Parts: sequence; structure tokens; C-alpha cells
Amino acid sequence: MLTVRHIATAIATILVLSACTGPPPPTYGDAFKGLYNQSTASVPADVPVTVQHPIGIILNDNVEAYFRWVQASKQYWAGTVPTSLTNNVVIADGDPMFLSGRVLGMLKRRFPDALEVKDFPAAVSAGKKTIVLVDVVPKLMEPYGDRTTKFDFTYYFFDAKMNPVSKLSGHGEHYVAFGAADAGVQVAVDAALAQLDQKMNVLVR
Amino acid sequence: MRHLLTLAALALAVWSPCASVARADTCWETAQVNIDCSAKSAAPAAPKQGAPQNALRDQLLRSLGSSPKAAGPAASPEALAKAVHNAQDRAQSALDAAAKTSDPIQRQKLSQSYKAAMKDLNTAYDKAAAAADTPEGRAQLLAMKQADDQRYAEAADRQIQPPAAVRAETPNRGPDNVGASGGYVYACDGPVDGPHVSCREIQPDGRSCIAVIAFDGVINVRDSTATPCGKKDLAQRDEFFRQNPDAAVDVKMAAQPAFTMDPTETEAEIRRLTADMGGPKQLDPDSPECRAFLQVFVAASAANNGPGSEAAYEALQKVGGCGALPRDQVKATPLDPRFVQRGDTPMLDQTAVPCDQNPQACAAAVSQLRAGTSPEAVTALYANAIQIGLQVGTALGSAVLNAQQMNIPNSPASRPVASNGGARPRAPSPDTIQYHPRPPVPPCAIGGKGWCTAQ
Repeated sequence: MLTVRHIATAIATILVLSACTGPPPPTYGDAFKGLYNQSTASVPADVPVTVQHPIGIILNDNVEAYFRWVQASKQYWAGTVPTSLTNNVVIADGDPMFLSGRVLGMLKRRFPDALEVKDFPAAVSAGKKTIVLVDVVPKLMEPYGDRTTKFDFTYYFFDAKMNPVSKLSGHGEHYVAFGAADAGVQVAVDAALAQLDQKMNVLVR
Repeated sequence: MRHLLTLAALALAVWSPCASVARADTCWETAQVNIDCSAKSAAPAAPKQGAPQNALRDQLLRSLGSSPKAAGPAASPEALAKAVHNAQDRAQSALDAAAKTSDPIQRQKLSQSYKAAMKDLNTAYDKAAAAADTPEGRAQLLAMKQADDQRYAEAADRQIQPPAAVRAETPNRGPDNVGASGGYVYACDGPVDGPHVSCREIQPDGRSCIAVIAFDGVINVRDSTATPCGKKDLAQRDEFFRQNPDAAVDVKMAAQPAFTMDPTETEAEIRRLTADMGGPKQLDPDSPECRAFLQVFVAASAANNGPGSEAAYEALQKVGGCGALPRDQVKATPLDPRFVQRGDTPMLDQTAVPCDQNPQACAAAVSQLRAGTSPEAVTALYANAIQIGLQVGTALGSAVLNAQQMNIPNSPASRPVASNGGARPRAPSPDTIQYHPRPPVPPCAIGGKGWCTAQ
């Protein structure tokens, strides 16, 4: 039989658990949302692509949304946990600079003249002949649920007429054991990008 | 030497206007066939060509990425566009003239004119394709060339080379006075391959007929005007179609309107393919081109040259202002309907943009972040936590020890205790914290069992 003590304990548990999860993750939308008036559903997957130079790189709104969420979470924990007890490992693991650096580094290593551009009008006025639109759909580990961190990267290739011609995807995940100090973001990102890199070796010229 | 130069200048001055007039009013054919082009070069076509060709020339210049001198006069955008148009006009003129004559000799000459025009058209397309700066643009120009080839060839088959026979090579079924060839049906007064027979050439659409005379199945004389077809002829054609379905299909195909492309559409397509995508190019303010634009603008203003200043100002606007014009005065690039103007992206600006601008520093930051999750970092994290735990434990232990010291009797830090109280210190109460002077206590007297009894 439920007693007042049981109910109070349950409420306290819920409060504690919710306090441990931080801000809720964002809802990720279509990769072209806010950039290109078309659905990604019609873009063919794994079609060989011959790129033309110069190349522009656009990181889409899902990347921006993920970065904002990481920033909000960091601020939340900074206000919750004393500075001396800050988990610097998990902060380094989820730092947006890592994801940006890895994605841009990978693309620039393959296409040295590639430059990041804000959107398609900017790309056109800069004379870009190929656009690589980067989409990411992350799923961070849940401390009290699925403890697997997953990252799905998709590169959409646009030709000189700014029409999407192909999309290549890479998936990476990492199970976070109990007691781990980080969320396995870097491991999952590296795995997804490695898979994507292998596909590009075959399909992109 | 000076006299020679003067003479040359005068000759050029006299010759240039004459040449332009001649170009406007005549068509000079390789085969020396006199074709009246005045109708084409008069009112509708001539005024349209100036401005678009200038724009086309400018866009081709941009796509070529070189000056007119470097590209050469033959490869200039204006010359390319004009060469295509002229060749198209000449080919069409030859076709039109051929359709109006039945003289075999004249037709032969027109055929030569047509072939020369087509050769020039192909050459002009090849040059335009070579000038295109993208493989796609080149491929599409070549596709346009192929489409023109096919279109004119089909028209030539109909208009320059009329059907040589009123009966097809494959014998037709049905009455022998009806035959079909090249999309036309011939209803004759006698056998179609008779030595001398009058026929009506029923046009593919069946709306008009042209009287022809054939000798041994070969058309020798053709009327210059078409007349409505008679019911009898059309009935014969229908019967012929029923018995020869293949011929019916051929005639139906011939009745389909040929693919045509207006010269203005051709020009627009060339402009689209050779132009930079996204409209006007935004020049770098530090570029030599921008400096040249600014110098022209300043010079025109200093000279009080109103039109020149206005033109230079517009040119500046088109190239993005070169840093000299306010943003609101720079002509906006028309937005492609597929594109969405993106809003603010503060996080990407903080992360991706620095990474893009300084890849080395970005790589170093990535290495640091990777080191931040290394086992050493995790160990340091736990060590820090343990150290903090120890500090907290030490602080708690000290507090406990201090509290115990407070309970030692006669200690300076000890509080007064009740005479009958234990060693446990009493919690401070408001009464003890605040100052409440008590009335003097009377001395007590030791009573029985050693108790102090108040007096």
C-alpha cells in the first residue's frame, strides 16, 4: 500500500533523475530544412559523384541545433555542479569544436580548396561548383535508458547547378559503461566519419 | 607615316558605317545565292539584338575569364552570339526560299546555301562550346547544336529536297493511283508511276493540297500555291491509310510540329549557360578590377560627366560596390527559389568558421579535446574527486574534533554548564545568545545529601 513516504520518495527520485539529465535534446529535422526548398527523400543514396572545384561546405541546421544543445547543457551543469567537481572529460568529449574540426578536417584533407559557406546563396555568389551539405543526427547516451551514443552523418552532394545528386551516410556508436567519465561522443563521431570516409574513397572523385 | 595613318583612319571611318549597313540589309551567301534578308533584319529582329548581345558578350567575357584581346575577336561573346544567329537566319532563309520555288536549279543552289549556313552554324556552336567555362555548359551547347542540326535537317528534307517519287520504295497496297512518300500522300489521276500524271500532294495535316505533275513517278512540276483538298482526294487518302497503316504512321509523324527554338531563346540559353551562377559577381574590394571601376567612377565625377558617372555607379553596384558603396545601395542578387536565406548560426560561427579559417589551430584544438578524454585525463578527474573528497573528509573530521574540544571542562572555549548537567554541550538558544541580565541569585545553603538548596 502506498504511503506518503513512498510517494515522497518517488517524487524525490524523479526530481533527482530529471536534475541529472539536463536540458532535453532538440528535435532534428530534414537535412535541407532552412537551406533548400526540397525534401531529402528524393536524393539518391550512394551514387558516384565527380566533384567540381571549388567546393563549398555547408553545415546544416541540425548541426547548429546539436551545438546549441551542447552549449545549453554545459551552462546548465556549470550552474548545478561546483566548479571544482566539473567533469572536464565529458565536456571535452562533447565539445562542438571536435565535431566541427573532424568534419572540416576530413573534407579539407580530401578537397584542399574546400571552404565552409553559410548557405546556398553565399555559395553561388562565391562561385562554388560543388556543395557538400553536412547533416548530423546524434543520439546521446541516456544515463537511465539506452546507454549507447549514436551518430549518423550524411553528406549531400550538390552539383554546379545546385541540384542534389547523391548522399553518403556514415554511422558510429559507442556503448557507455556504468562509471564511465564521458559519453563516448568522440568515439562515435570517429567511427561514423571513418565509415563515411571509406564510402567517399569509392564513390567520390 | 602620319599621312598613311590618316588615310587608314579615314578609310576605316568611311568603311565601317557602310559595312554595318550592308550587314543589316543583305545576306552574303557562300553559294552566291541572292536571298532577301530584309524582312528578317528589319524591324522585329534588328533592334532586339543590340542590348542582349552586349549582355551576352559581357557574360561570356566573365565565363572566359579573359579580356577581349586575350580571347581574340573571333571568340568574343558578341561574335559568338552573332555568328549563331546569323547562321540560323541564313539557314532558315534558304529553307523558306526553297519552299517557294519549284525550279530544280534554284533549289540546288539553295541547298548549297543551306549547307554552308549549317556549316557556319556548327562552327559557331563549337566556338561557343569551347568558350563555356563549365563542362555542363559545353555539353548543353553541343546538345543545342545537335538539336538545331536535327531540326534544320528535317525542314530541309521537307522543303529543299521534295519527295523524288510519289510512291515509296516499298510498294503500297491498294489502288495504284495513290502513293505516299516523305509524309505526303499523292492522289493521282492515273497510276502514280505513270509516264505523265497529274496528282494532288496532300499535305501531312490534310488541310491543303498542292498540284504536282509527275513523270514516271518523279515529280517534275509543282504548283506554287496550296489549295484546300477535295473530298474525293481525302477519301482516297483515308482508304489508303486503312490499307497501309505504316504509311499512315509516317504521315502522322510528319504532321507533328517540328521542334523549334526561337533565336531569342537560343541567346537566353547561351547567356544562362555561360553566365556565372547567382547573378552579378561580387568583386573583392582589393582586386584590380575594383580599383579600375573606382577610378572610372572618380574620373567621370571629377570631369562632371553625368552619364559617365551614372554608368560607372551602376557598374559599381553590379560588382558589389567594391567597398565604396553602402550595403543598401548594392544591387541584391536575385535569390534562387530553391534556396533559403539562412538565419543566424551563432554556434557554427563559433566553431566551424574558426576551424575553416585556421585549420592548423583547429587540428590542435581537436588534439587537445581528444587528450581531454584520454585515460590520463580520466585518472586526473578521479584523482581530483578523491582529493576533494579527502579535503571534505578532513574538514568534517576537524569540525568533529573541534566540537569535542569545546566540551573539555574549564576550557576557555567551553561554555558554562549547569551544575547538574552532563558533558554534552547545550545548543545555543536565543536566550543565551541575546543578553538577558538575570536577577542576582541568592547564595545557597548545603542541605541534606549535599544538594544546594536555594534560599
